[in-house]
Order: sequence, then structure tokens, then C-alpha cells
Amino acid sequence: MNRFPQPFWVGVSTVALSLFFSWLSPHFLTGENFVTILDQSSINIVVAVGMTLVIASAGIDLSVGATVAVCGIVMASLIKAGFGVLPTIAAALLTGALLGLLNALLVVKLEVNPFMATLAMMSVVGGGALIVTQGIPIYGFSADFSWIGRGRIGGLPVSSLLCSAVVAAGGFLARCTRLGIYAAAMGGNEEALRRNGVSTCLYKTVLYVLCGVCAALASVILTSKLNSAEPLAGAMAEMNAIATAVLGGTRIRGGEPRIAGTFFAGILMGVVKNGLVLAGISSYYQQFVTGVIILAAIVVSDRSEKSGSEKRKGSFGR
Amino acid sequence: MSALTLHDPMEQVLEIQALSKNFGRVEVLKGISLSLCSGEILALVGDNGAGKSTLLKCVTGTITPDGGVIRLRDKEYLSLSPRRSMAEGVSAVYQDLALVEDLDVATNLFLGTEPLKAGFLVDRARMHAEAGLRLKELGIELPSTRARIADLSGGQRQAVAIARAVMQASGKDRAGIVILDEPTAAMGVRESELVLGIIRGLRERKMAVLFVSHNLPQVFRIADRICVLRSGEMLWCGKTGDVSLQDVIAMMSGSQPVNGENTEGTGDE
Amino acid sequence: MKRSAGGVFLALVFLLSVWGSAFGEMNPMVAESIATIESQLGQIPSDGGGKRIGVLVITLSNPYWTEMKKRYEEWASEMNVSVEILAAPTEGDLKSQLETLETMVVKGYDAIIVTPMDPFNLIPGVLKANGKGIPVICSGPAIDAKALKDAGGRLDGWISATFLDQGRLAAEDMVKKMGAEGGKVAIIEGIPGAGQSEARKKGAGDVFASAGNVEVVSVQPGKWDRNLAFDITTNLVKAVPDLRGIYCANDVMALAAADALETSGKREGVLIYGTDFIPEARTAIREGKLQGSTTFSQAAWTRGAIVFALKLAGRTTDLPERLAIPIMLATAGNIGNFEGWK
Repeated sequence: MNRFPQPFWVGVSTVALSLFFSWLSPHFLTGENFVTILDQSSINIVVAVGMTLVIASAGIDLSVGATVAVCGIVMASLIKAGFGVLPTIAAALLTGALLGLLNALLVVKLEVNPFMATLAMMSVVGGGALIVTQGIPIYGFSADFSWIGRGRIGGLPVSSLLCSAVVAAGGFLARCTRLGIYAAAMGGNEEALRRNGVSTCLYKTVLYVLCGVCAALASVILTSKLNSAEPLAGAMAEMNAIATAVLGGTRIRGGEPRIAGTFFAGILMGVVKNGLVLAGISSYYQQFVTGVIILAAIVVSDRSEKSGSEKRKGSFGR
Repeated sequence: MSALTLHDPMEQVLEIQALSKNFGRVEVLKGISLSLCSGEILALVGDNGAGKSTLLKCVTGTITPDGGVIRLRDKEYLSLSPRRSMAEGVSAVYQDLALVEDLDVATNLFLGTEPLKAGFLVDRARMHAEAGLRLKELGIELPSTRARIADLSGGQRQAVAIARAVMQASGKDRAGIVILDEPTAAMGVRESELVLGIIRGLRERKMAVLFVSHNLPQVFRIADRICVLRSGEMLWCGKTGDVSLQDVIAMMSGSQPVNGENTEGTGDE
Repeated sequence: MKRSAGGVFLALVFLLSVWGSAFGEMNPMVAESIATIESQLGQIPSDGGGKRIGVLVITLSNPYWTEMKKRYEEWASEMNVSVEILAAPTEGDLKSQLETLETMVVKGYDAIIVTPMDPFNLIPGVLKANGKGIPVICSGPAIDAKALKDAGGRLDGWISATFLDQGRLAAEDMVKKMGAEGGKVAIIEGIPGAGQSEARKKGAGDVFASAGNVEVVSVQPGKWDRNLAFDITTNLVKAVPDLRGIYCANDVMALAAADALETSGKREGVLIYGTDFIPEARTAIREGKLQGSTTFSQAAWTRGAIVFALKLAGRTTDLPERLAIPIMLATAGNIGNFEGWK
């Protein structure tokens, strides 16, 4: 195959940018810095894995940021009320799953367009968080809890180990189970799937629930790292996750979920943020540079897609 | 030995009697009768609005007829559901092909019926191997079972769609009924030839094929029997050899009354 | 807070020498602030020795902080240090501020000065700096001491203005101007629960409470918002027609309150004070639209911060834990002294 898949370009860009940044700053190419990049990218990658699955099915979930915030508030309240770390995390995951289920209900049962449905949920859930907390963050809870966000195992941050586990699980689901196939099918031709007797309702619901659970996991890492929960905690989480998924090669209009691509794209975005700070470049460039990279990714992949198909439409049986 | 077993020739697998369907005050089907045997290619022709697709949908169970009977092998139905129809070995390929562009050939062939290992893991190796076998059986040559549908030509896609229909229609003790809606629509000569070749191959495997087409020359080349529909009525149904192209055109457009035999193939009363 | 006569003397000597330099036109109020600050720090290093200091602020899309950045950069060239000022891309994004700090730690500055968005979000970053032996100074809102200690971290210094004083000085002037008859006053605070807002409210509130003839009729949250403060004031003056004074936790709200009273035709006889001394407030005080505004000198602050950082980088012991920045009150009476104020 002549066409280079998107993850390849992401990898190339990451290497190129890394070289550029290491030229600008001697601190870039250090073990300490790599660990920092990994650590900082974890939260976004975890959300993006769930988002990747949903986008693959030609859906979208704009409410993940609100989910992150709400799960944080749930956890903070439970910890302060004296609950242990494990039950607290379980509660957070349950919350994420429930919110995902609500999204699924809107999209699957009521057949609301996913963009509108999750946009509405974002407002409702986010607004609810603000009301419950009156805008005031919840502070200062236990030290065992913050181990998840701040601790290390064998020199690697716990957060990045968790992130790797989520990526592995997501990749497994996408490549080795029917969920991955059906997600892509729902993105490509939902009617075809239905005609083959597959319950698209069930599988779509699973996708949105998983997305909610990923957001909840990200919230666990974030809340424990900052040791505080606030209603605006997940601001921009959905945009970053969508950008990461698309950059990683999963098409926004639906198609094969590329979990590995999502992982590398998340690292690339982490490299950009980190490199700009090390080079002393204003943080405004972060948004700009990230946007340019995503734009380039979309254009390149679209064009290679089109030319590839035309080349290959050969004649029958040769 | 493949899963497709061969049957006694000329076993009647489908019979429609006096099928009627109204949409509001419009009578789309006015008492249609036809029959189909295994190892037979039957072409359904008629102008737009004649009722062809409604008829097909009654057989696949998408539409419930208002009157008449549908007999599938030895069972009689007043109406069908898609599931029942599929269970009886009927499968259709519509013009939209119902393929997922982004996925590869094998995945499309096994969509919904993926082979599993350890209960829930998709056995991709087996999927591709079996897909390869099936395609070979039907005489379909593709670059690879890992080719994406989006990268295939129109004719290749049609072939995959037909292959899937064959896989769905075939059962242990029966050859299936494959319904094709405009299989060579928008195709060039070369591609059409190859699709027609596949359809002929289906007949050799003793499948029953019912296809709708506007391309009369092609119809005359491969169909064993032709049924002409106009305004919801079956004007003529008989052997291809017993009618001429001009006559069929005339019947379709209603410009002249029919000359010649009109009775064969309307089924046993 | 340590003071030494020797320190004050040295500070004044230094100031006189500095006066003759590019900063010869330094505003006397600023100079006074600097003197007060530096008296707390002992001997001032004459040359920065090219040390690198990293500064993390809250955001650079706010004139307060962009001014702060300019002051840092002016002092940096003057004192032969290299100061790099960074901010998170969005105000309120706790995580990205933390990430910026973590990345800054990698850069190996000689000292880092941070202004945290909330008492907890930068703690992991401070731990990292501690691990690398980089002194960390907290500038402005506090980092929660207990949480930091529990996490095993350490702060090497803290610079803050006594926000309490910002409310206190304004209230004291207001009470003085109200005279013997006293009267009814109101406070429009910022965001309830936020450090500065609470401190300013308390500072003013305590003064009002201890003044026998003054009654606080209302305390409302204006959330630093002009529109909100406008509406609050309009309603306030309807409910309390004989209102005599309003303290607002920042100038934006104070100016809105003045506008509201003007619109209702009730501006006469009401004393309005704010905090921050933004340029609009400066003009308003001159015109009598506002009676006063409390503030601290950003030039003094930034200078104090750099000196503090240099001393820590030079491993000086015997430094105060907290460097207090004095608050000044600008009124129509002393507005002339505020020309060239930074």
C-alpha cells in the first residue's frame, strides 16, 4: 500500500517537532522531560480513547468535560465524607457510566442528533455542577487519594500507567471484538448493520457508556492530581479529546477507530504544549500551533484518501 | 464440501398468488402471481412505478401485502417479517448494496455473523480464510479479502454484495433465493459482464435468482424467464425464448396489447 | 516580620543611588513602598549576577498581569537578571497552570515565583521544584500550607499584600469623612470564598463594625462584574435612600456603583471607594466621581519579588517567611503624589 496511514504522519511530526524543540531548549531531550510529557498527556488521552470509539460510529460526545467535573465533585464529596479511595473511584466510574447512558438514551431511543444531544447534556450537567457547588471548588482531601494523580511506580507516573491501560483496553475492544467492527460499521453505513440483524441500539449505547466511563477515569486522575474538584474542571476537555481523536486518524464522519493513533496524537499535543513552554514561547501559540497541526492532518489524510481510492479502482479480477 | 448443497433441479421454492398492495387509494399491486424454481433466473421488468420494488419488498418481508399468499417452499404466508424471510432463505441486494465502505471485504461478508473464538473475540484469521473460500466458490476474483470496499470498483462491490446475499440465503438443506435489484446499474460493459457471469454461477449452484433490471438486452441474455409488470399488473410471464425484445418493450409501455402465449409460469392453482 | 535599622538605612542609601539612574523619575509613593519592602530583606545585592528567574502568573490576557510583566522586565534589565514570565493559556484552567509549572521546573531556573489560581493546584509542581532544589516563592494568593506540608513540600517564601488592609484603609477614610454623624454603609464584595475578596470584605467590615455610629446595611456579591454591581447599587439605593457610603472590592464595581447612583440621581452625598487603582479610577478620583482607591505598587512588588528570589537563590538564610507589600490609599487629597505611579 502506498498510502501512509495517519498515525505515521503523527509520528513523523512528533519527531520533527521534538528535534525543533530540542534545538530551541536544551532541557527538552531529557528523561525528566519525557516523563513530564507522558504524565501531562495522560488525562487527555484517556478521554480521547472513549471519544474515539464514539466518533468512529459517526457520533460525538460534547458532554465529557461536564462529566469530568461532576465525577470530580462526586469523588470530592465522598472522600470528605470519609469514604475510602476504592469506593470513591467506583462511584465516579458509575457516575460516568450513568451520564453516558443518558446520552445514549437521547441518541438511540429519542433519536436526537448526537451533537445536539450531548451539547444539551453538557449544559445541563455542567450547569448542575455549578448549582450544586455554587461555583465554589471543593478542596483538600486525603493523601492516599492523590497518589493516583501524583504517585509513581518504578519511576513512571501512575497516571501514565493508567493511561496505557486504558489505551490497551480500548485498542483491544476496537481490534479484537465485534464492538470495534460495529462502531466502524455504524459510522460507515448503519443501515447495512441493521439489515444484517445487529442491534445497533445496544452497541451504540455501549459506546456512549464507555465514553462516559473514560471521562470518569480521566476525572479520577485529574481530581487526585489537583486535590480539588471544581465545576469548571473539565473545561475544553471535549475539544481536546475530539482534536486528539481526529488527529489520530479516526474520521469525524465515522469509520475505523484508530486507538493507537489517538495515543500518538495525544503525545504529539503534549510535546507541543511542553516544547512551547520550554522554549519560552507565549502560551497563546499553543492553541494556534495545535490548530494548525490538526488542520494539516485533516487535509493530508483527506487527500491521500481520495487519491488512494482512485488509484486502486482497477478492473475486476486482476 | 461447501455449505452450499445442490438440489433437485426445478424445485419450486417461491410462489406468489394474487398478491395485492394499496398505498392509500393507490393500488400498487393488483393481484400478482408468479413462481420461481431453484436453478432458475427470473427477470422482473417493468417501467418505473410498475410495482417491482413493492413486490420485492413483500417477498423480503419489508412490506406487508394487503391480500394474496406467499409460498416459500412448503410454507404459506399471508405476510412476512424480514427475519422470517431471511430464515426461509431469502436475501436481497438492493441498489445501495448495504456495504460498509471503510471495512474490508471479509468483514463485510461476515457482518453480523463474525466467527468467534473464546466466545467473544473475533477470529479474523478464520474470517478471511472462509471469505476467500466463498468468493472462490462463486468465481469472484478480488485483489484480497483485506481490500477496503471503498477501494473496489462498482462491479467488485456488487460481487461482494451478491456473495454476502448468497451466504445469508444458503442453508444446510436448501439452496437460497437471491433477489437482486438492478445489479448492473451504472456499470460499464466489462463490469456488467462479470456481474452477469456471477449471476449465471448462482444458477449453476442451483440457487433461485429473481432480479429486476431495466437493461433488456442483458435480461434476454441471462434470464430463463421474464415477467412483465405494468401498473401493478402482471402482463406476461414466460420463457425468454417465447417473447421478443420489442414485445416486452411494447408491453412495458402499454403501447400495444400482447400477442402470444400468456399463461406459463403463473403457478399451479 | 523582621526589621533592622541597618536594613532601612541601607535601603535608603540604595534608593538614593538608584534615584540618580534611569529611575530618577520614580514616583515618591513607589519609592516609599520599595523602601518598606526592602527593609524586610536585609542587604540588597547590587548586581543580579545574570541569574535566571521564572515567574508563573495567572494569565496574560488581563491588563493587571501584563503591567506586572512589564515591571518585571524593567527591573530585570536594571538588575542584571533574566526574568521569564509565563502564564497558562486560559484563566481558570487549573490543570494547565500546573502543567506549565511542571515544565518550568525542567528548565532549571535559579528561582521560581508563582501566583497560584487556587490554594492547591500548584502543589505537585512545588514538590517537583523542591526536589530539584529550586527555591519557590508564592506571590499573591496563598498556597494552602497544610496541604503542602502533607504532601511533603515546602515553600521558600511568600509575598503578599495584606488584602485586609485594602479594605481597611478605604473604610477608615470613609468613616473619617462621614464625620460624627456616621450613617449607613454597604459593601459590595467580589466572589464569595475567593481569598482577596474575603480579606477586603473583612478589612472594611471590621472597621465599620468598630465605628459606633456606622451601620452596615448590606453586603452583596458583585463578582468583580460591572453590570452586576450596577444593578446591585440601583436596588440598594432604592431600598436604603439615606445610604452614605459604599465600599466595593474592586474599582470596576466601584465605578459601576457610581454610575448607578448617577443614573438614579442619588450620587450626591454618597462616598464610594474601590480597590486596584486602575487608570479609570485614577481619573474618577480626580474628578470626584470616586472618593478613593486602595492599591499597592506593582513596581515595588516586582522588585521585592526579584530581590527575594535572588537572596533565596544565593542561599541566604535569615529571610522573612512572608514579605508584606504595603497598601496605599489614593484619594483626591493625595492624587498628585500618584503621578508616575507604577
